[in-house]
Amino acid sequence: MAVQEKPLYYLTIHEARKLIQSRALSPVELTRAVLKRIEAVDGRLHAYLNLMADNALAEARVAEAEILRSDYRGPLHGIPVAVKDQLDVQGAPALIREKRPPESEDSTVVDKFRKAGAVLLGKLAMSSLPIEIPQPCNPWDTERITGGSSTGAGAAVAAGLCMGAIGEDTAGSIRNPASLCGIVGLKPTYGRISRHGLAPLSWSLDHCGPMTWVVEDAAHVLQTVAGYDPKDPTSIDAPVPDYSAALRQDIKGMVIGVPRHFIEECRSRTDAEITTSVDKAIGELQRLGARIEEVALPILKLATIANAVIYYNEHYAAHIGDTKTVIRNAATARRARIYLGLLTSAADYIQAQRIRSRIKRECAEVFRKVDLLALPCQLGPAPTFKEVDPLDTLYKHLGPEYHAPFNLAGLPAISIPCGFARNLPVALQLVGKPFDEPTVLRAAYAYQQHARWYERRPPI
Amino acid sequence: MEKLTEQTLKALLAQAGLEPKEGDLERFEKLMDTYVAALKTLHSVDVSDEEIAPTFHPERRTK
Repeated sequence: MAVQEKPLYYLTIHEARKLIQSRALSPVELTRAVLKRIEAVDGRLHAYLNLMADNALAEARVAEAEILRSDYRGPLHGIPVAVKDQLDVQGAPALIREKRPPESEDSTVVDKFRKAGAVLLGKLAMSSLPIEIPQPCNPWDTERITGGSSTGAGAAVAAGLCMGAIGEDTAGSIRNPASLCGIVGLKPTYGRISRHGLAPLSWSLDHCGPMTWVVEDAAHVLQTVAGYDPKDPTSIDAPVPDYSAALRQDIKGMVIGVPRHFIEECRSRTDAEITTSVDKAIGELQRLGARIEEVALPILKLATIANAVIYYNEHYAAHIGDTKTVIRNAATARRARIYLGLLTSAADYIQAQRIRSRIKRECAEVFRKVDLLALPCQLGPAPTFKEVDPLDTLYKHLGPEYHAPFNLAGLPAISIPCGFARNLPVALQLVGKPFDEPTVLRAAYAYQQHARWYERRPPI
Repeated sequence: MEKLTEQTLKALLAQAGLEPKEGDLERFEKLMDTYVAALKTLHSVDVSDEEIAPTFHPERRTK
């Protein structure tokens, strides 16, 4: 039974979970509505690589039966979600792994989704897959890219083809599509979410994280998948706080640092409308009670290059056993990463690791004085497919930009919609201290509730 | 490395037991030159007092 004015596929997780818990909405009805939406628009968007409709409906029926017998598991129970291809799903192939047999085991993230009673719709497209796989289109304008590499997740969440997704971010791959598709994307602290069952792009830079329509949904998804996992040697055994509780506090007195020198460093590469929208958003945070302070992080200008050096080197090492296959089949950018990894010396890798130590030190010093950093989350609005060269992403990572420094530092960073430039989404980035996702979510939520950009959905 | 030559790259690929896809060396020439220049920039800063961070943890430990 539909109890909302908007279509069921556009309910947020936060709205749907209340209806499901109170039995006003059936998980089966909700899953059917989302599957119907996928059938209607995914032929144009290409967000799904592997839609598991029958499995999803079976899981929805199980969730419905459990809820009817008062066995409610939590906010994701009966909620249709999806994951980036990079995450293993038992019985489904992982195309990024260059092998087609179905995986024999779920990744830890997927396992946690199942234990929470979520309905897994399928696997979403990503950049760097074999050339013949179509690239997802941006729901705000299907002539435009979604941004990568969690391309399918950006399109699917924005267009109502799932209610939440897990993406993966090595150099901005959650925050970039989130900003270009007008959704919320959270790259948590390194070690916060298990990488077990994640096809590696770069072991020390890969972060799994939620991609959702609103901040409260990111909190629900993070709550479900965060936590220590002995199967991931880089997982960190730190307490998992109540992320939704953090949203109930305002931001009066919060200190937000703005690295103006770095924004200036990126200015020649950044569309003017992006910096204008972000400046307005920072002004709104100030009006909500935050204190804005200029901060200096001198090493940021080299952080993107250092991140790229570590990424390409680890990427090459991760594929040492199947490099020939990658070079034969993979998309242009992925082949280029392999070649660049091969060109990188041990001295370059060590220098990049030392720059990583420096950025950690500089960030730790700045975070003694501020609670968050605020800065842009993209260089420009989504370009058209015709405007983009497959190597643009690699060129972007050889000069200063806004995402990679926080992969290198391992800090939590969120992309939150903050307006439109030429009718295309623009985002603000907020970065927090290690494991301080609650403060990141709290500020993002306060801004979201004030600005209300989430009320505007893409025209598709 | 001052500037990457096709011969250098072919030698590196051969050492790794790889052959480039047809047209890749020409296609990626400018990117590789930009990368080599970026590597020089990477070494432009003195970070010799920093730990090598072989084990990564986002919480900084005392130096």
